Amino acid sequence: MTAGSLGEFEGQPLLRVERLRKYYPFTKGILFAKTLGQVKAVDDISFTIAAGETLGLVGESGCGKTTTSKLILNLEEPSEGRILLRGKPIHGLAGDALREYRARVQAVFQDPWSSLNPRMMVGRTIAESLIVTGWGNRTDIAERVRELLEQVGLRQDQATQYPHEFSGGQRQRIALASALASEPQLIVLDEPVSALDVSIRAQMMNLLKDIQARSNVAYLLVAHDLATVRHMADQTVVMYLGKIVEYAATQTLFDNVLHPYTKALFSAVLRPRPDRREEEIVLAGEVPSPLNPPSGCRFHTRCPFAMAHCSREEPPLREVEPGHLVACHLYDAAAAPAFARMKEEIVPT
Amino acid sequence: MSIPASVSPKPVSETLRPLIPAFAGLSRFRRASRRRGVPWIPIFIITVMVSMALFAPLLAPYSPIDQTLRDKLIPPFWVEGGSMQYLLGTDAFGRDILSRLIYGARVSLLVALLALIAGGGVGLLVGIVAGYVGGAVDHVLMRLVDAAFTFPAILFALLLSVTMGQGLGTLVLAISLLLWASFARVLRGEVLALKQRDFVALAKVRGCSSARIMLTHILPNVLNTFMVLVTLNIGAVIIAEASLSFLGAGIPPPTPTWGGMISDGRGRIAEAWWVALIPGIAITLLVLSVNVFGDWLRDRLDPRLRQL
Repeated sequence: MTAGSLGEFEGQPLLRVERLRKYYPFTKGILFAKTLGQVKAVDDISFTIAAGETLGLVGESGCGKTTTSKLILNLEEPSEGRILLRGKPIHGLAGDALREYRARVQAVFQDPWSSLNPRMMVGRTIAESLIVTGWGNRTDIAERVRELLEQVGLRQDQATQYPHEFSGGQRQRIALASALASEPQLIVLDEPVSALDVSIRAQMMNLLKDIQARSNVAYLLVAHDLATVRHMADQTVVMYLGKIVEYAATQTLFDNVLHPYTKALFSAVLRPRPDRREEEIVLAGEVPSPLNPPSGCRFHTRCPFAMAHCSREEPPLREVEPGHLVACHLYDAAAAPAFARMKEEIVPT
Repeated sequence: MSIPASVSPKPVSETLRPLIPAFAGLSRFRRASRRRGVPWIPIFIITVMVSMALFAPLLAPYSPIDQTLRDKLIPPFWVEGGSMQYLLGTDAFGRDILSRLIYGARVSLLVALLALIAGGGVGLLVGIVAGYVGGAVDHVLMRLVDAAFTFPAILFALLLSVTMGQGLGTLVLAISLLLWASFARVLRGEVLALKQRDFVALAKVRGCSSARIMLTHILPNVLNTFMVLVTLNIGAVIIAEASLSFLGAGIPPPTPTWGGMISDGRGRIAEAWWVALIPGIAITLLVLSVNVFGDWLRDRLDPRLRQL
């Protein structure tokens, strides 16, 4: 359905995130607040999502995943950088343009117990975006709600029930149906299955894939669970402390993990063959505070392969292999470490 | 719907109880009272009082205003000198106390109703707006609430009655001004908690305006708390009305009000105790009943509010 409008935007990615930064000031006092510092929740990240594609966003809690999704949902204003939907900046929209954006970009959140209004019938919840955009008359909307309920595998008569009558999995389907109502082009899925029982996770993921196949909707899948990302995502972005450390097609990335942080993430996953010994990286310590991130490479304090210049120089995100971007000094061209050392020796003179 | 556990701190008695045998019986009593059933007696008393107010002209045997000086200060029927003609006796002007009591219920309940609608309504509005909008709006509104709490309540009401003149309007205004702040403060807290729930952020993502979110997402979710606050405050409002009437700042005589009736009987409390005592008992019964009912309703609807 949404694919029809693709033509005029040929070549333009659906969503482009450009050098996005979000700093939260850390203040003291109320009336004459003093800024003591800034929490760098998201610090200069860029990526694109193509129509009908899924981008997985992985990282520990506190790495800026949720902030990124809030920025894309236009719930927060970026400190710097911009987000473009089909080439048009999304922040600073107002009135009809904002409503139109809201209809195109939707969300499903992690906690199904918190994402439905307990005092609202689920049919009304699903219809909400249609009601606020004046999409059609009562009967049209009721018809669309029935269609959506069926699409997510619920009964049509369940529209008049309240959220407490549903299980977690069913609630998440209702949340999905409400997100789908306005036929969005992008849905931000913030940990859509992590609150669900393992037994119904696969169901939910398959439902998401079915819907994508049918409607060509793009997903931004925020997750800390690698299995989910592997199953769902076409592209994967790994974040650490507000920065992208690795970015590649999911298959490429899973076949050949390059960044030490991503390696550590992977080695923390339970393996199907625990008896088989594999290289294991256990990270020491906590994630450093984003209020005062480490100098140079932000991962150097926990990196088992840290080199001397890692704490001084921030590694840029570079294409190390075709289509595989990594921000790590380990993959500097062979001459690079020597070059860097040389530069250091020369510059002071 | 998930309800977080009560946040009120454990009272000292909770920790002491296992150490002291005497607490054993008490805890059995408290456990029983915690899962108490419907409070039928208070409901009955409230129903009687409300019917008295609604059907006063049908129920009252005499006019509440007409004086029969010949029959003044007749005691209730069970006291020596009393008669079945005036079941609860008469006052210094020979007015039937039962009839005045029945008509007085009208004033008490009407004032309570109007004050709760006005004060509670303003509190609801302020609480929702302050909590949801936040920022400077929240600061300004909450400082107003703080200011309202510092008013000496009765003094302020007296001042109003002097400047605006006595009457129902003044009384309702005075009591509303005392009420709205506590409603606003509690409801704002509720809204702050509610705002963190994902469905509020999602409503924004769906394209709802702030006004719409407050009306369709926030308001329905604080109505329970609002109802509990209303019932818990009925008693306080009735007492405020009675106090003001007693002080002469309420409805002017000869309209019967319970507070005013106590005030009338005050001078002769030694020889004609019934004039003051009977409306006093009526106030006590009604306030006790609505409080017990309110407690029960709170436990049923919103256990988190136990500390109120």
